[in-house]
Amino acid sequence: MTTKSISTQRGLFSSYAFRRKASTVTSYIVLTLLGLMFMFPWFYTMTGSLKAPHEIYLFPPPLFPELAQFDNYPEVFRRVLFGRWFINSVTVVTLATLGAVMSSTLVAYSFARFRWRGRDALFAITLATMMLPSEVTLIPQYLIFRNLRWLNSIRPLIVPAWFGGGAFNIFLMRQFLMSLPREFDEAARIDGASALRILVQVLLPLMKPVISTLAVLGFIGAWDDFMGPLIYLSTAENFTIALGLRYFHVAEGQPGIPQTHLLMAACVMSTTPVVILFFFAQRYFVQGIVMSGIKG
Amino acid sequence: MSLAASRRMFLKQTVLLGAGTLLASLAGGCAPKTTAPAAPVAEAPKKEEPKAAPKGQLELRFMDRGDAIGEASRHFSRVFEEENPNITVKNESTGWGDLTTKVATMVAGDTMADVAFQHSPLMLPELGAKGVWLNLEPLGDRDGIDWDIYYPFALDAVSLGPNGELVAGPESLHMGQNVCGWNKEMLEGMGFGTPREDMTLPEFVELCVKIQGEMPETGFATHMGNSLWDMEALSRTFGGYLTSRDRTQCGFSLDKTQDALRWHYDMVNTHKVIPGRDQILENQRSMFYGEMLAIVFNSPNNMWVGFEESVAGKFSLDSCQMPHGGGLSIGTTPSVNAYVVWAKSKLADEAWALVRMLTSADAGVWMATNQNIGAGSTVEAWNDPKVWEVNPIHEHCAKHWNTLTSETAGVIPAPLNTRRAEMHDYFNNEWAAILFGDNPYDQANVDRLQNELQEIMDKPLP
Repeated sequence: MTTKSISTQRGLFSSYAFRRKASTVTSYIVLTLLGLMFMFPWFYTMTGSLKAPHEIYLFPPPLFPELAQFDNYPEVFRRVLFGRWFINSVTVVTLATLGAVMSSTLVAYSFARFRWRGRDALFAITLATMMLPSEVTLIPQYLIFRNLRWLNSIRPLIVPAWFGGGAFNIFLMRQFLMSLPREFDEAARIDGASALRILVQVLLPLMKPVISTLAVLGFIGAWDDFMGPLIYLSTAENFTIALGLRYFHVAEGQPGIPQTHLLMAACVMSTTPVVILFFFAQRYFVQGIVMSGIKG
Repeated sequence: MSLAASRRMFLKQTVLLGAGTLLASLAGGCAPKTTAPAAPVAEAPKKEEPKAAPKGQLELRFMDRGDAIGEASRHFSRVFEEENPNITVKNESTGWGDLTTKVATMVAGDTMADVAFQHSPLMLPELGAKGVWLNLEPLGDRDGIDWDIYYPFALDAVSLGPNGELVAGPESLHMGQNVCGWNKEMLEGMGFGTPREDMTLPEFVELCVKIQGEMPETGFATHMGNSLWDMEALSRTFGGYLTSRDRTQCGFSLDKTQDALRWHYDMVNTHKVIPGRDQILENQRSMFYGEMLAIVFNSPNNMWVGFEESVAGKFSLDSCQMPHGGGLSIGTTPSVNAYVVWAKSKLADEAWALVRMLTSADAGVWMATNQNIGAGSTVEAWNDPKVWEVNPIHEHCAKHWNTLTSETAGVIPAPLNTRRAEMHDYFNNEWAAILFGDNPYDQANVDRLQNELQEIMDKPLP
């Protein structure tokens, strides 16, 4: 190999390395900027939660408070039953998510692994329920829970999740189960395992990604749910956080003592669990988007 | 092992597992919250824990307005309990924006509260016309109520039953965005003078143009809303209307209405003293508080409540009624916050007693002096010197309202067929399109809007 060709190769190599580095640096810069852009609303909410009421109305809006009003946080607790709402939200989210994941697993297992008369028709009907807008079923569901005397309790927000967990969950779970080889089931069956044992001991460990995905989506859905609590809950001590935040909202065109700073403090506290969850379950959020096409 | 056998076993086990988990969830999470940790100590002072009802105790359900403005409802619920020890008022607070959905659902489910907050005309007409709320007039007559304690147009604003029956007790009265408020220090600093009631509108425009020259780049001399609500009051100032007295005719194309709308259009597009669509920073209130507006047109409640907290002494507020010199009058659009009694309530008498308390002169004075909101709907409360002292802006209103009658005060800006939302949405979109230059302001568009709005008003009851 001549000196010229070696130097040309080095030149090419170094140029390639440079381009690669440059591309990486550019990607990082772009991603950092995008990250900052998406973080900005939360950042503004957080700094807003430390502002005095009049600072919310300054033009141009200051990024930081003149003097951080940490008292805004305890003030939220003094004004409303925020602690109670938090406990209610945690109760609803935990039980509803647990119910949705457990029951959809069982239903999906049945759809994916057993042959029974009317299975495909029932699956089609299950999927068809996804086409119904929630507004259509709002009043009938309300009447059902009224007849059960469950109004103004958190039962309507939890119990339905234990009856199948929703068409989307069933669908996602079934598709995942169908991708698992049946040989696992057959091997376990030869060893004498029952159907439930096959599910619990053989399939469930393999289903962790889809279970985590559904748990994360279920958690966020239940935590943010507004319409359900609005319709079924009446008295303040039963509210969830999503509903209770409305206390601080002053409707456009309506008179109101400014409470935006308190609303922001309450929002920071209410989003904190989701942010914490994100740090612990980041991988599953990404998996959730990949598997379901739905953002958290 | 056959597949059939395993399926049967699976089903059995599933049923057992499902039942077990469901019972566990019901027992753990859905039972009365006896195991829930106590709420933080800090919440104690303002918390309204439900009281355990003694035997024979009546429980009156009250869907109040679930925000800070609703504090008055909750305060008087406690006063009512003290005065009626055999009654417990259970407050079911619902946010302003959610009342319509929730009330409609609860009425459909036959689970409505005994007493509820409603706004006339934003919420009341639809269900009022369907007989959902109790006619309160016979109850008042039975109890010897002197209806003259209320402003007559406040009662008119809630006479929205199937045949115009009185279906609510009027609380905070609101006569439209016709009070003119300004940043006192800013206008004093400019030295051009301030708005006055006896000013003609050309004089007012001249003042605004001068002020505009001194405003910062993103600031404006004045701002008034451009919704049907706002334009109705302005049209009435000019002697026109959008909603006729019998609420069946649209007057969009009337000459006097067009004079009003053209004046507004010129303020935005010719004189450029009112912000255009892209120049509005958040909303009128935040622009005024942020010193980006010198003069605002609004109702006293919207201007005054929260003013001191929002500006923290940066400037003070001065006010007068809308300038109407030169033979104009102040256009009014009466509306009230109101309390209704559900027609199916089993505690109608008790509910009516609570409504009476909430709409009394005492309650009006309490609301105006404790929360700065409107002083109810009684003549006595609005003319109470204590109210004027705490809320100087209320004095202008009271003095004006004292001169009005049912005939001169106008009617609520809502069609008789209860299609208010449809009409308002249509007008708000189409008028904004003209005002902000998307569509030309020509005769063809005026005729088109007139016809479309009239068509909405001609539709049958939904």
